[in-house]
Amino acid sequence: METLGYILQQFINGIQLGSVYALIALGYTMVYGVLRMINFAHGDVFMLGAFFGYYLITRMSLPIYLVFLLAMAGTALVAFIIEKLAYSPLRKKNAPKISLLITAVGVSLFIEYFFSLNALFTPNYIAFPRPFEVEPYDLNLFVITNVHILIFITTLISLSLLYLLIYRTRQGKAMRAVALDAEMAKLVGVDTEKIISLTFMLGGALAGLGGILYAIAYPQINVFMGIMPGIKSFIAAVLGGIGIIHGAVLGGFIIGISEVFVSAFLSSTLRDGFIFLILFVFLIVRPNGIFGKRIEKV
Amino acid sequence: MKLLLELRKEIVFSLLLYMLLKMIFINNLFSDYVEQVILYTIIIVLGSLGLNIIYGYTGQFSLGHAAFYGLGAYFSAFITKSFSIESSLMFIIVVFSGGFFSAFVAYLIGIPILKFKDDFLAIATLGFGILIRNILDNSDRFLETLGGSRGFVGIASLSDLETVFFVSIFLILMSKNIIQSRYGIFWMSIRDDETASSSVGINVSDMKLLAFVYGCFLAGVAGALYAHLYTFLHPSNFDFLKSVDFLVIVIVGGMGNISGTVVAGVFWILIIEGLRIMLPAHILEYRWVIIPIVLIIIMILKPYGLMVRKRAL
Amino acid sequence: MSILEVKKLSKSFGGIKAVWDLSFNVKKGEILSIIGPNGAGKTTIFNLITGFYRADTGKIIFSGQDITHLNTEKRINLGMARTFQNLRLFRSMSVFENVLTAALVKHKYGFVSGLLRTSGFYSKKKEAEERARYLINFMGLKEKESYLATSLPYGDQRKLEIARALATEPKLLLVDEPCAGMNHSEINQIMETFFRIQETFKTTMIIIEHHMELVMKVSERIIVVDFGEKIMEGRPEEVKNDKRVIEAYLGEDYGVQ
Repeated sequence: METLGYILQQFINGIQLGSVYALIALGYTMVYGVLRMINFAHGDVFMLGAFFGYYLITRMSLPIYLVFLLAMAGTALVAFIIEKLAYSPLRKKNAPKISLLITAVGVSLFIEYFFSLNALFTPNYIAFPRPFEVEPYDLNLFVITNVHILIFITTLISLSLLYLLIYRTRQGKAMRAVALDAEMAKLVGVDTEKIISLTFMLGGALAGLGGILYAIAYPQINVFMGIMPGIKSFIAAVLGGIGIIHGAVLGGFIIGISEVFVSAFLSSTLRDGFIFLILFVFLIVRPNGIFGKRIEKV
Repeated sequence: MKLLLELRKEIVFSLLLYMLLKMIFINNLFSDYVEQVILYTIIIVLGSLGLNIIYGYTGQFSLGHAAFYGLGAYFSAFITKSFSIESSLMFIIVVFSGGFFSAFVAYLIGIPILKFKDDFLAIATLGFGILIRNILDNSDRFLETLGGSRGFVGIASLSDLETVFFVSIFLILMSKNIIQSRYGIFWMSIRDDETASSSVGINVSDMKLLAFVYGCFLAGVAGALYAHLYTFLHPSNFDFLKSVDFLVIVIVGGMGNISGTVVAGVFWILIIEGLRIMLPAHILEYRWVIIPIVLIIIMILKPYGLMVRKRAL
Repeated sequence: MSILEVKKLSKSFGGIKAVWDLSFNVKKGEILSIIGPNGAGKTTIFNLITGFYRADTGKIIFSGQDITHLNTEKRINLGMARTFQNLRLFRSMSVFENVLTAALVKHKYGFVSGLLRTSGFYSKKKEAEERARYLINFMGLKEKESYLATSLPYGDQRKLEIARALATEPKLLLVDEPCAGMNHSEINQIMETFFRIQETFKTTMIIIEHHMELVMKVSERIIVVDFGEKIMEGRPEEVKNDKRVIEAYLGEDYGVQ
């Protein structure tokens, strides 16, 4: 039962799930970094990634990396549109943060229920066709599959590219500047609107990738599939320190691994509740997250 | 008492309304279904008022209000079922205890959570709502009667016109009193500017907690009345969408505006139920597509909400 | 008799020393001004005294009581009040309601009293409303009592903040840049007001201000800070001619007498 092999197996599964959560968490944290808002609809962008993947795989036969890229482009576009249509008008009006939040809730609900219409995706679960056969590699203590490997590698590549973008390019520098001080960034000539759009698109692309990877790992998709992963990924971002990139990554893995372990060793029904317990505890003990600054009282 | 004198307009209006409803009910002018909807409307208004106090007046954005509504419902139903409660008087006591139970949970949760602002409070309350939903879904594992995801059946039908109406009116009037008292003005000052509120000596965290606990108390009472109206509870009644229902009513009715909440609540139920009766099932599925759009449009056009309180109480 | 004693107060943010080793006393009933170039740490001092910031080191003694570790609400209830440099009025409320809110802090009744409107509710309500009206009148805002607070002209908004601060019957009033954005006649009015407050309520006042004319006329003593440190303390005439003060404001070249 609780053999070393079993534990390692769960660990591998946890890293797989954690990778997906990390990808989604990055979107939350980046948007929060530049706009100080929680993009409530981000989880639904994740869902759309899975569905775009579904349609790309079933309607066209493309090599897998193209499926990824096209779906990511699709979700990046969706994120861009959401920002421009729903959030930007409010920002321009200097609306109170709450109305931005309510709007985000509205966008999220709209996406879910619009695509759940019987004419579209329907509210049913749809089997996701993996574009390849699952091949397990038995390493004696545990089994690792090509799915695991695909997810690890894809996530690793994406994270590396993201790091390169943020820390080695001008756009990345501009993003960091806006995250630190938007007013000042504007004054030194940064086109904050472009940066905001870029941030949303990046986050959307990563979430979309996360969606397909998730669907490959757990091949059942549904229009409401973004809700729980969305919340958990947000919790992951908060855990690591909201607005902090490596925080989101670490948080994602922590949440993913915790979830798998709780499910394996305690009870799968307690899975979701446990994550919230972690959130509450963290909010009390270290509200700024692992990498966050200690709070100063105003 | 001076209180009765001050509230005479409201009391007279309430009595007249009661008599009107009583006439309608006694003569079976409407079907049982419609009577149920009328009582449900009153219940929803009460619940929304709770959220209005938490959010509209005090500015604390809670996305988990339905959880407290549900806690009151389940707790009270458990009591009436376990103790085979039948009398109206005992029922009213149980209803209030449902409220107190929700209030107690709100107190425990509020202490850590209410330190957080805006977005983070939203996620924390959302998370709590999901947690409670989770617990309710698994409730049969620790208390068989609660039914878990099969639902809680066989609740006594104790919510009649009298109990629902008078309990609700009483609490609505009490809430009006509190809002017009120093507590209400402190809540509003906190919503406007927490720093300035501390600077005049208001204990901001205590007042925030008070608003939250009281608002959840109202939700709990509403839930208790609901449980004994529909006599069946299912965890899906108390999910995020229900919290959004309350939120929409508060926003549309005007934050910090009691009569607005009443009007919006009535309107909301009317629309939902009206649509349900009139429209064929396949159009009904557009409900949650249209509502968010309306919400978004309201936010874009009037980011400070409809019917914003402009001036004096 | 010192109503406030600040002893070796320090506060840093990140690596920046906002206030450093600051000590001074405030005599009961006096009007004391704190002046210094922008960014000298003046508002930080107010935040430290009122509890909005916690000091890194040092002690604050108010009316003989060590308040260094008390939170803002407790300090205010011991008899302090403040206004804000950038105005923090209650935006959704009228002039009257702004002051009433503060007045109601001292005129207490319980939650149940509020629900059921017992006699305590009515008597305290009346007292608070009377106090609010009195102060609004005192500050000359009577005609505008029912206007939305933020609809007032800027100078009146500043007066309103002072009225609101006075509503809690403070022994010590901290006023942060009361003259910012005011014209000449408004500044004269403010000067009058400070004297009237001192005379009527015997309130001790600490004023942060840049407007030298007011500072010189109104203050009994002045403290000069620069880069978070006290560089001089004394009577207006002494401060005016002090080399260090002139240097701090105008630069070294002007330091020569």
